[in-house]
Amino acid sequence: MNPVPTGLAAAGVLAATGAAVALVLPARWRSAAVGVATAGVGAAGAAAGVAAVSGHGWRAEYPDVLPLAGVSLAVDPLAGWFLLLTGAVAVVVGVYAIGYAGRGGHGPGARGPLALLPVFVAAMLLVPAAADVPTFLLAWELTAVTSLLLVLVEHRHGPAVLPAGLWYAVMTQAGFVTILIGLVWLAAAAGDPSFAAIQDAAGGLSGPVRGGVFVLCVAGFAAKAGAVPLHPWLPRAHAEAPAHVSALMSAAMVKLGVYGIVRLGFDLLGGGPRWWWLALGAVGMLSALYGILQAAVATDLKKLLAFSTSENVGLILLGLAAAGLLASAGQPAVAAVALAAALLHAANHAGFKALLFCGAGSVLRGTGVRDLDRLGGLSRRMPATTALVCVGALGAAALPLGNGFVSEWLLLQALLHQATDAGTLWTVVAPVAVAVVALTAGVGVATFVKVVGTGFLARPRGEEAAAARESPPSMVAGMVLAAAACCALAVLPALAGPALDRVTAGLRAGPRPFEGGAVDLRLAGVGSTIAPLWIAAGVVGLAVATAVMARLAGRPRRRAAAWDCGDGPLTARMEYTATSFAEPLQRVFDDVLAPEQDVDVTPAAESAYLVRSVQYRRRLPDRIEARLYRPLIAAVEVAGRAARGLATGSVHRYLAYMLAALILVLFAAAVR
Amino acid sequence: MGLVRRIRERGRVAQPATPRPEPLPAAAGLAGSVQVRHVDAGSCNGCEIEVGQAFGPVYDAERHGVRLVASPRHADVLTVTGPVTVNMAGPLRTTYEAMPRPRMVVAVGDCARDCGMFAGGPGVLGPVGDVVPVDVLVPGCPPEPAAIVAALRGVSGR
Amino acid sequence: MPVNDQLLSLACGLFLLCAVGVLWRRELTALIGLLTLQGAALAGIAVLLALDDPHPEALAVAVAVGVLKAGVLPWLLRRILARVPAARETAPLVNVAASLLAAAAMTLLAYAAARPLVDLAPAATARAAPVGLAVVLIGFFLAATRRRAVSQIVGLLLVDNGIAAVAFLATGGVPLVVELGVSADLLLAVLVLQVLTTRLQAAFGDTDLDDLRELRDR
Repeated sequence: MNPVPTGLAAAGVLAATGAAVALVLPARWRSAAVGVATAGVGAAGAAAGVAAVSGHGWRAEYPDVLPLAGVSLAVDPLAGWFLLLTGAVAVVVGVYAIGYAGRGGHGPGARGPLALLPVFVAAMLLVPAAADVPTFLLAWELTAVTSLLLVLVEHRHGPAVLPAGLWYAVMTQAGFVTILIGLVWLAAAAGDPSFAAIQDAAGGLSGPVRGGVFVLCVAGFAAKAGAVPLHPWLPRAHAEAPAHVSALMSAAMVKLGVYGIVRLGFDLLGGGPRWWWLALGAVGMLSALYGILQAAVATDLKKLLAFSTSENVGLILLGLAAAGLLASAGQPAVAAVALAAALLHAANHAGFKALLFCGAGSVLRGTGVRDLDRLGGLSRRMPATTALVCVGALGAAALPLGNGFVSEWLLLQALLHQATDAGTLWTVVAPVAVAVVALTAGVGVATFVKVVGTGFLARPRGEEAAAARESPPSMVAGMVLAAAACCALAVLPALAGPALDRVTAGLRAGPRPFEGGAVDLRLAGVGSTIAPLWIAAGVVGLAVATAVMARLAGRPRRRAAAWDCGDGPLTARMEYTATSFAEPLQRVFDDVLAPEQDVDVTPAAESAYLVRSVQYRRRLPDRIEARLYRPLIAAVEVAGRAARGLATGSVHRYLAYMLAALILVLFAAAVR
Repeated sequence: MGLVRRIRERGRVAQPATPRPEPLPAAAGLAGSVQVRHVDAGSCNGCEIEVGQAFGPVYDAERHGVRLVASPRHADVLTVTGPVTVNMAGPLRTTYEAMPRPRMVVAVGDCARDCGMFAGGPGVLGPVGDVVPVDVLVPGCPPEPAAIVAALRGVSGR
Repeated sequence: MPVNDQLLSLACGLFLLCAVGVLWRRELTALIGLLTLQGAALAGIAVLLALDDPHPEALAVAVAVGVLKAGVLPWLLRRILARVPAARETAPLVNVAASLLAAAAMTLLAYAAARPLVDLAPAATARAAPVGLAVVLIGFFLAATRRRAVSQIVGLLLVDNGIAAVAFLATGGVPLVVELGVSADLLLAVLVLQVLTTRLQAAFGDTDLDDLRELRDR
């Protein structure tokens, strides 16, 4: 019995039952039932993914399901990797949603949003399994529509939700249209819409066709993945969506964009000229730098995490670009390592980003605010959330015991490898890429120290933070699952080795990148090893030994209060806020960020020289949005207003429009 | 290049070191490394100026192993100037308590010894010896920087 | 048979000429008369095609077409006209000379565009198919450039006549069911338009369509 189709079928059945149950059950049991159903969908999908990366393939065709096109499914190791990723995130989110959606039956706990949740997960599982263009596009659009409805769930809570939904809707639809045009063009040029036929025929297509298809599809996939400059929807939608939806979108849905690029660039088109990968790499580097800079100066917790997603997507795209460039430069071994690094980083990012978004949701539930400037001191009242968010932040900062470290190490190994015969282009591009990764990692550490330090440690800076409540056990359980996955990936990355071997082999991207090793990760072509388990054991051992020896040394100790400069207790007003923590960094990157500052001085009534109050306001706009999108939106508005002049109210004019159109079409038909 | 030329032209500014004074037996545990935290408990700032000169380029106390630090947690020696005012008694006591042992107190100036010209003034609590135990006293109003350096050399032994 | 071919060409020519005539005349009663004549020509085309391959259904269709387009619809139009005092089209949006030139241009376009259709079945019937397309375009043009509501209805009827002509000439006949369905739709449309014209007259005093200007954005 092939586990893959059983897993996918189980996922489908569970999704349908979950949706039906959500519409039928009373509010008390709704969120629990749907949470369990979603976790079940995720587990079934992940099981199918595990089976696929262990070598079980599967393909099937259902010609009657869709009119004209039919549904065609195929699961290979690449699809299995993304099924596993999506399924695992869905398990975490399902368990988490039991507590987050609550028992009240409103907001995220209402019938509609809960019914959509398992459907969204099932649609995301369908995308990697699609094996021809119509199925892929159908699954893609289904994901987009369900996620849009889920983003708009809390539209009564604030004025920012509807514009966020509008941005998301427009950008995701625009991306869909570009992907549609690209894939349909490819299918028309190849003569058959199935991926297998396209793969066979792609070698014979001309350069401009391949290039055009690549550009169009990558633009659409990059928009879904949230790469700069197609990112403005990401911070808005993720900040306004409910936390479990943000976790699903950021950890699983943006990876579908990455999946699309890998499938198209490496599998269907089978590699391409260097300018493709240079362009992709440029987008990746821009994304990584801009994303982490905006995250470093953001004070809204969810907006910060959304920009961090942009940054990580940039790193993944950089890995893919490196793999493509190395493959076209004749270095297949190192290319395989770069590809494995990108895919592993996708998995790691899914793990820690799901955890962090769930943590942000916990904070929002417990305090009601998500502004880091007003938080602080949560470690005392929300200890479980603080500990789990620390695990996620360690992974996101890519420090040695976190899971982000392993994939960034892999990426740097591929970039730093001394490829003497890889050509001048590689020798010029690789150091730039290394510099970008290093800068990103540095700023990333600062960002997540800011998150943990100003958000969770020290003392509460507001009454909401002082009155924080710990989350219910189901939310903590969901986060524990994600943290366990992060720790497993951090300490035993060799678990993913065989799977990644099969994925790269399936894509014919190069020889197997990893060899052997149950505990340490050994790179075959590059000749490096990393053993995080021993590093972790060493660090833990050292810490324990130090503590024991300090205890044994037996010096007299006395307790003393924290030094407070001598005069009076420290208050929360004296702490670093998130804004002040990031201010030196913002000053360094002033030219890039271009903050707008406003100082309002109110003088006293008696004299203009006596000041009653000073108000300082600082805004950090998104410059790319201001430079690129505002003019575009203004142009569209102008065109729209001009087009209203077409509707004057005269019936004759409308009839004349129709006649003109008819004559034009007949003319075109006659001329051909 | 202008800086290097200026250094060459100016030459050495610091005064030659005087012979070593007697080291204090109680300070033997510090082994020549003395970290100093300074507290102004209510002085007129005259002694502060002299302490500043003592650590400046002319008298250069740092060549004898004495260094100013910013926190009492890092300090071995507490230098106090001025008569202790009512408002500064608590902070002075807290600063002394925050220092790890072994610790010493150096009272600088006549006001630290016996309130000097401020004796009996409103807001004045008493000399430093009333609030914290004093180990070394540097008399003078204000004392010369050389005297301050000599007192600190007695603590460092260098 | 050659006689049939010549008669068919005569009927088609009359068909097209009626459409052009509708563009020329300004009196609304004249328009209705020309429409009647065109309906008779269409019925003639249908009868000639039915004679070519005798089918009871084809003859029934021809009779139905004749009754409807040459009898019922013109009668309905005359009833509308009775309620509307002004019997003359005032100042059309495009003057008569330009309309006739446009009709000539549209006929040429119809012949050019329908060439693939003609090449499919090069019999005399198929060669005449572009006539129907030309009448469709002329009917549309009429609706777009004439002010009176009755002219609009005549334009709509011209369009339908043209489509019916193409259906007969290109495919050799339509099934009875299809013809009945289309006729029922058309009858309903004309009845509704009759009511609307009366309302228009009551609201604005005359039936100039340019008085209706509410369907706009500003």
